[in-house]
Amino acid sequence: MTASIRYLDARSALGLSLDECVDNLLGGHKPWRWLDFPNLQEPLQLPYFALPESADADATRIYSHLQDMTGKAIAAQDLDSAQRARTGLFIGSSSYDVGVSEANYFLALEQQAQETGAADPLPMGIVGYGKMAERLRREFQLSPHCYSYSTACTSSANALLYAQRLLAAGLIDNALVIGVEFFNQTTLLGFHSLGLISPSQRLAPFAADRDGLVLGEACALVMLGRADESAPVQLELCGGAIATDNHSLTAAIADGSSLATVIAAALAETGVTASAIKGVKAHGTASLMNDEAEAAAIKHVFPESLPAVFALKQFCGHTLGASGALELALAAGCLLRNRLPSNPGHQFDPALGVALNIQAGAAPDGHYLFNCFAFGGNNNALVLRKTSRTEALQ
Amino acid sequence: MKLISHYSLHHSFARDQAELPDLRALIAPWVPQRIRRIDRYIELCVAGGLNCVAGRQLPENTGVYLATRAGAVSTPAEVMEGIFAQQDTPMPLHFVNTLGNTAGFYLTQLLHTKGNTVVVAQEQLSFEAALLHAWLDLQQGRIHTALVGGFDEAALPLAQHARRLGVDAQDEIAEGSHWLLLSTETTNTAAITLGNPVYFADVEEVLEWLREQDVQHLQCAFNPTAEEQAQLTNVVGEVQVCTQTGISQGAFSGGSLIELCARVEQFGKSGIHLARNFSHGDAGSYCALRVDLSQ
Repeated sequence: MTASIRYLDARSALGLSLDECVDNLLGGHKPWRWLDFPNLQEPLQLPYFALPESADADATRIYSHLQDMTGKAIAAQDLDSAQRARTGLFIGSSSYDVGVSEANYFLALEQQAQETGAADPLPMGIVGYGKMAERLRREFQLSPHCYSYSTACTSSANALLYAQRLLAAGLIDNALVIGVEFFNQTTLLGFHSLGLISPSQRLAPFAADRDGLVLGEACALVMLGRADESAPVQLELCGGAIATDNHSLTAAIADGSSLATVIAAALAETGVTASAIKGVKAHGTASLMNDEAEAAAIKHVFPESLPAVFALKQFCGHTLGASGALELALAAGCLLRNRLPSNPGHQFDPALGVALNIQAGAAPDGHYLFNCFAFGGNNNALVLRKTSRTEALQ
Repeated sequence: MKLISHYSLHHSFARDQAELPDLRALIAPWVPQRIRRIDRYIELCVAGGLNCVAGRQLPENTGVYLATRAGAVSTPAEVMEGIFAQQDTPMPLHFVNTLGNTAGFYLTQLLHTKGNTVVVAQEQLSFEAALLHAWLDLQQGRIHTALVGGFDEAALPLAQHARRLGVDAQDEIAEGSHWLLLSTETTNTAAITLGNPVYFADVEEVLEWLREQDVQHLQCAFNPTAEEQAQLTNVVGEVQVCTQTGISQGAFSGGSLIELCARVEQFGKSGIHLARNFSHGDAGSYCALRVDLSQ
């Protein structure tokens, strides 16, 4: 059973609403900025896709964004108490509120240095992946089906998939799926240590001169439920698959075989043939190894000709655990406008053999593939279907 | 869901304890060579998973469902100290060990599984959340074998960890790793079977469901209030509380379920596993499932 997309919201460097994000995405904006780390022994400056609000804003803004976003979704769908009690909540993040732990620890260290506060600063003071979801569930009186996923970059993609599976099993009637990733130093400096941040700040997926990624922060919400027959364009999450590649902690097998396996499993699960796929939202991190493996996988799954392939991280950054929900929301926002996302200026790399869609055009009805891959070898592929009402009535 | 195997590891520590028991002896029978660069959180996952599987050859598409309440703690705390107290950038592998997914990577690599792996949390119902995800995939025929594990670490120093958990001053600090290997394959031998996890918004819903179960024994993975105890006893007759301490501190309610499975196997009578998600000032939510001995 497919799950209809009933409502979308997104907050990213592109803007603080889905419309604003989609406007700027289709306009080709890439609003990254520099972040300074002056306190390190070796001071650093790193590029980052921060929300338009200040990146120095209070770390607890993660809580207010989630509360506001959830409240708006429930109000927009006019869910009464009985409907809320049948609405599951699924959150995916790779860092949850670690930024709040960092801020508290930093403050306690400063107070200790000034002898004005805590005697024993506590690193990683807030624990519990499920705390934020449980708080939202209680506040909005949602279903006890309330899950938090932590599988690095696939976290919210996995949340989407299991939301669809719980809906299909009839355990819930609606699902609020949230991907969230907010600025924290652990993550940004960790990626810097791994040598994955683009020195050129370009984040150029599948390009010959790609040199890494730029991280970003975001939260996005996808509400799934029964179809709204009156909507001019229907978007449905048909299903997908998760598979494990334990070749390496930080890279997929370069020949793409493990990524091709999860894509093939997603197609098999949804009963969709490769030839029926109209477009592919690539994971496209612009790291040397991800793009090599993903390009090989795409060519393996589509051996004759590739559907339109597009990548979104160059507009919003790699938002890690939020990327599954955010990139689905952004792409869906484009599809609802009958627009296919594009990567203007993409420089084709013959060694990879995947040319990104460079011209914004109409988005045909049909199936779309969404790739999302993670550290630790957790890979996810989802299949989405777009149906215009005029076609549905024929 | 037929229970093939189970394994439970549970430790409780006084908060002034300076060292934790070595887990390598639990891993060594299955992996003779030392696994490098893994922290205690990953060791708990690997030790629990390997001892539950106990050398069985699993199908490659076995689903692996990992539950944790807190995720990795000691390594992220160390990384945070490095950044803010020592003004240093993290070591690459230290950073990778902060991620929720890394423990599963090591375990699936050792078990040679390549199927669906997921890490899920739901506060005090985290183990039940993983079990529900496994049940969904087993019941819908995506897989025939599932490995479900719940684990959380006690990070040193334990006095600091007690502050993180917000536990009472007199309480010990717990760590654990609790595992089930499940299958939908049928055999001719008697076996423990687990029903589907059922979620409830309040105790009234639990009682209504219990009245339909025709089961006289219930095991709580939590300390019920006097009112809960009375209500539950009134419906099922016999209510037992898990013997392990600190169950609510992590994804440890699987330990209670495993105790119940052993009792059902011993006495041949069906039972109910009941877990509760509770915070002060809130009625909480519950999850229950049947445990039966099938012939």
